[in-house]
Amino acid sequence: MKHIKSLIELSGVWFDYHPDRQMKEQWALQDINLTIQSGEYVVVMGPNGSGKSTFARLLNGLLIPTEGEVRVGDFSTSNGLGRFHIRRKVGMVFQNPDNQIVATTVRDDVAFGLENLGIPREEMIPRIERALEVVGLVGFENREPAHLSGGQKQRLAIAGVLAMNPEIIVFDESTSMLDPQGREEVRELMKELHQQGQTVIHITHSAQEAFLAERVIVIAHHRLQLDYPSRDLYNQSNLLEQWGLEVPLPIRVRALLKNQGVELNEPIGNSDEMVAQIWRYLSKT
Amino acid sequence: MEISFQDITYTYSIGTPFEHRALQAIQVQFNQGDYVAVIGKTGSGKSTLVQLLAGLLLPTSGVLQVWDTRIHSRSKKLGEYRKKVGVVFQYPEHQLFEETVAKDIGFGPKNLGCDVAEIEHRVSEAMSWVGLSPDLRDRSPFELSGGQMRRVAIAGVLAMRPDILILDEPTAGLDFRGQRDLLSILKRFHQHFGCTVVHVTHNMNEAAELAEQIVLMSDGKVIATGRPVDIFRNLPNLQVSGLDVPDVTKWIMSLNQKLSTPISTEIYELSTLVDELIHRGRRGS
Repeated sequence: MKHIKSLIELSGVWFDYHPDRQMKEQWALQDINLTIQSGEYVVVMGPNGSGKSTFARLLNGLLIPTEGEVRVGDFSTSNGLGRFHIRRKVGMVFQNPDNQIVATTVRDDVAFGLENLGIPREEMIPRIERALEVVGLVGFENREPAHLSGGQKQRLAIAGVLAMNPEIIVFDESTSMLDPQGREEVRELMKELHQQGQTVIHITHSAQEAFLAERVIVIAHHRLQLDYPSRDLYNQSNLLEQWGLEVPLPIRVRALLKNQGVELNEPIGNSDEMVAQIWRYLSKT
Repeated sequence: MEISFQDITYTYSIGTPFEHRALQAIQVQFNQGDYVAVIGKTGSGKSTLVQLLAGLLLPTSGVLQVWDTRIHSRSKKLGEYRKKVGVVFQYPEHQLFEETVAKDIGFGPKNLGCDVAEIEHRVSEAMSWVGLSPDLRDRSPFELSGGQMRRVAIAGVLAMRPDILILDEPTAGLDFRGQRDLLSILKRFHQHFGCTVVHVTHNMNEAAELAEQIVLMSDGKVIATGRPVDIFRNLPNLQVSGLDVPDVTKWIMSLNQKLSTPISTEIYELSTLVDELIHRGRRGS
């Protein structure tokens, strides 16, 4: 049997900010075990305070497990050399675009991370060009980041991460402060990155966004509660309600119909399949 | 029409290189006691509009008439006016400052000159409105969870019993359950006290669910105003403004592509939609 090596592996991970003062059953994250393969598109859902942002920060060694180990490729975040390598592999995009911008032009902002890595200028230039092309900001090179829209700023933050050629990009609620158009821009970009083979991990509360991924993980009450392919979860997404998470609208409609005695039982994997099922229900009567 | 913006323009940093016209020739009226949603993408002028209404900015030109108060570029002494207006800013929990929850909520009523018994009464009442347990009274607001801190901040504004309640993106950053809870608090508070509510949002679901009047802004102008149905009927208008229809409308539209008799897109409540489906199912569609 061929053994496929996972890109990310969390084994027996426990974490707390003050492990010496907290009872272990109140730790921020408890007994997390999971693996993520190269090229996956994974969503992590969880209510406020569930530990999902802590989880994101463990992935690139911003936080280090109190117990257990996080491995990315051949390295562990538990030692300095490992973190050095892992921080180059795992790029992070955060919630507030305004907190991630450092330079006075779009080009310089993308260059910032590369300068820190000591990349020579002749290599920097094509990398910046490519990153701006991927996020659709070609022509904005000399613009002032402060004058960009929310979606454009977030795309700029993503370009800065992409230019560093990460293997994995973690989006920590990166759409939550954006308006509908900005959200759509960032979602589209996530999808494209995934199609190009990038490993994408997206932390979000939005059901609409969760089901764009291939796999959904729920973290609630500091523990991993559920880990399903998103198509399988969709049909039973009423489960999400117990953690205060959003249930997709078609599934809520189905539950309300059932309360009134109309049972539509065919399993569905997305909104369109629910539309088709309702249409059949209306047609056959 | 008791609140009326009459040809209002607002320009930031006049005479500097950063001069920016945030509002242009705004003409809009609100009825006293209405729940008004102001929608628009980032940078459309929504926040500037409500800051004028709050008496925090003065119009560069034009007049804002609120009952018997006329606010214009040279208005002075708006102190009395501001007491009638309560403002919940974005991320209001960042503005908590007192030692205890009760003191923080009581700060507004105290400034209004309420006596001790009245402050006490209003604090208890506001805590119960936002669903904060009375035993949190003497806790430091900084020991609470993010969702509870948001409730304390909102309770502080409700305790002032404003005639106009302004909320700038009040659900931003809350998880799904937190959003639902807050919206139902706002709805009940509005119904109970009959104050005018002006709620800024880029969440179309919120606007559709709560508002009696919607003001659609784009590029510093009011593009349209009317009942939710009037606004969401005009898809091109929304798209030009970088917005979208509510999720339920989107879903009804996809269902309608298959139906010979379309379902009304004026339905915003899921229970109403379900009743309609069942009605059609029985009748044979």
